Amino acid sequence: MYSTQWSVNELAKRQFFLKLNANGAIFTMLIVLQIIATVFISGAVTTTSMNDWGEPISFNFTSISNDAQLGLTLFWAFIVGFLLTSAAQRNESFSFVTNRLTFQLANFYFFCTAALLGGVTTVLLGSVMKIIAMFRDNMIIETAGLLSSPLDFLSRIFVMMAYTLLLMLIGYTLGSLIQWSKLFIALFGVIWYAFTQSTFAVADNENSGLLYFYYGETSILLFTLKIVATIAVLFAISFFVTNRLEVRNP
Amino acid sequence: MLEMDGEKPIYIQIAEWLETEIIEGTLQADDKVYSQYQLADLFNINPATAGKGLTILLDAELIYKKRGLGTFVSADAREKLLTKRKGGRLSRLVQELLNEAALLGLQEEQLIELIRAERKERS
Amino acid sequence: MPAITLKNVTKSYRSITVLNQLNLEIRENVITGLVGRNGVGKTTLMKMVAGFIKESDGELRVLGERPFNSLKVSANMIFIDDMMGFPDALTLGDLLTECDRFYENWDQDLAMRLLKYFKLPLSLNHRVLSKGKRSTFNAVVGIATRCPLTMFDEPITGMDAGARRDFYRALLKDYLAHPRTILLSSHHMEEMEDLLEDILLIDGKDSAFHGSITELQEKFISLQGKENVLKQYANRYAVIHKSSAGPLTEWIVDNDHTNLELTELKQAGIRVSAVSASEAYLAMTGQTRGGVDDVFDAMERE
Repeated sequence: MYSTQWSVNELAKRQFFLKLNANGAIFTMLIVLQIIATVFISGAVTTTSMNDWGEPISFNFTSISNDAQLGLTLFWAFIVGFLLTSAAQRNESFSFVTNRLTFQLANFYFFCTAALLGGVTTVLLGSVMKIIAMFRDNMIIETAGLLSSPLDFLSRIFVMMAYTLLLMLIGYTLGSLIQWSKLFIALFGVIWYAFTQSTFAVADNENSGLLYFYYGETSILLFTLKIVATIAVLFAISFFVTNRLEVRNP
Repeated sequence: MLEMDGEKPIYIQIAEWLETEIIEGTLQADDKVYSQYQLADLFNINPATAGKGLTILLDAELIYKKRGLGTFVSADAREKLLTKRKGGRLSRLVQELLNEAALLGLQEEQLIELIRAERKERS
Repeated sequence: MPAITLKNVTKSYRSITVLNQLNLEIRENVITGLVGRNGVGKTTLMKMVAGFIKESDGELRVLGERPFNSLKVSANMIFIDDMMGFPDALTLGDLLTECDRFYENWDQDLAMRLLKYFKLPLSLNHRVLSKGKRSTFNAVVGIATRCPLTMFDEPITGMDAGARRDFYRALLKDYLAHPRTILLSSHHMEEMEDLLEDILLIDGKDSAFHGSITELQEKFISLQGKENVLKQYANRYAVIHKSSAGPLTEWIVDNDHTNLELTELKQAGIRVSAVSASEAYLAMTGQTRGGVDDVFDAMERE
């Protein structure tokens, strides 16, 4: 009679597909944010330099960056991580077959997919902007592209994905802790205040600080290790909380 | 089971309905009786309750079980029921009649007169 | 083997104890009605059995396992209530597809036919449904999943009389064809009592009655008559509940009378009748008509 027996793997996969079907809006949100970043926030910063002997010759140096898209993607990642800890998300998953482990795994698979998409689109949009700039301003582009240096291009995608995934797990872990106890809101407020104060304090020394731990890393292998280790720690913390949560409990 | 006024529990109603079916001849001797699941569907009740109704008839040996085939009406079921209803139900109805008559202050003669009049009207 | 076993199970939230040292067994493949007044812990009990919340103390076994975080329990159980959350992005049709992917015994054909009968188009979104329609959809899901353990917590909330009748009928028919353990809670016991085999009455953090519905019915009888007559003839029985409607007074008393005593009562002009299971339940929990009259009577006297 009680014949149905699922493996954790199989159920995590099914829960993941349920999440994909149910949360298409999250990807739409990413696209919209990136369009906003591309259209409304100009990535090109133009500096005009006049020569100082009064000749009517001028040079326009334009540097293009997609920092805006990058920033918005990371912001999106944090929000997505946070959103997936909401009571509504949990109740939707627990309307079907799951336990807390398969629920957590499905969320993680979802983050990986979202990070892949976020990483690829952000880097590609950077290239798109360069192409736009080239046609518009007839500029010479000096940069690494997929064709000119594929390894560099792919590593940028990889790094972007790693950051996106990291931000999602940070959002997810914070969200989980807050779901567990609202006291964490106050705690995070205090930590955030202390963090910003201390960053300002060390602002003149850019080589120190928490964030430098990641972006200051020059070896891709070590960078990967650092990111993976951090994600593992965040996964463990959030699972510790999630595994205790009472669900479908208004 | 105690004799009650008013509405009876469902499984008693089921038993009485089956008894009436037998008395009326809808269910003849050795006919197959409804299963508890058929009764549950028919009366929109839990099959266990329907089963209790059947048990009453089984205990009174009005129906019998054939392994794997179901339950069937006993040969003497109708006879038994007729005797039972005369002795049981009818005498209870008479008791109630007498209670009511006492309340209204009717004499025995007047009661019998009432019964005669009613019978005449029906025939 | 019982489907559900509780041994000294307690559930408390911080200092508030909702269920205290509960001991019971729910029989397999039986429809059990879970009744009790508001806030006695019916929902808490069901959610604990479903593995949604964790017991604070004691031993809880569902299908042989501790339900909290058990995949086996989750896969063989469904819990339907009106707070059931479904993703906004999915239509009713999509939701049926998801059910099909998650539940082994899911009957897609039955679900589609029932939705059609209840006039619930597959293209609709769960969020836009009215309260009654939402309950109806959830109930259809509950029936069509055919889980070995199926729980409905107040499934008829918001349904009109027709939908309620159809729901109970559909549940019974599917149960007859596919027997399973069903737990059903509702405040409208009179509507569901014919469907039930067992009753579990929760009162005061504990089980006040657990047994077959006929057993509950036969615990009591109802005596109706003029109050002075009742006082004269029926004063030696344990009165569970007194109420009065118009000139007649009704006493619900323990059913431990001999036939001779009953005949005496009847001759005194007292109407003796069986009580329905729901009347028995209402009497046990002090919900029969007239109860609240005491409040107003007391105010008048002061």
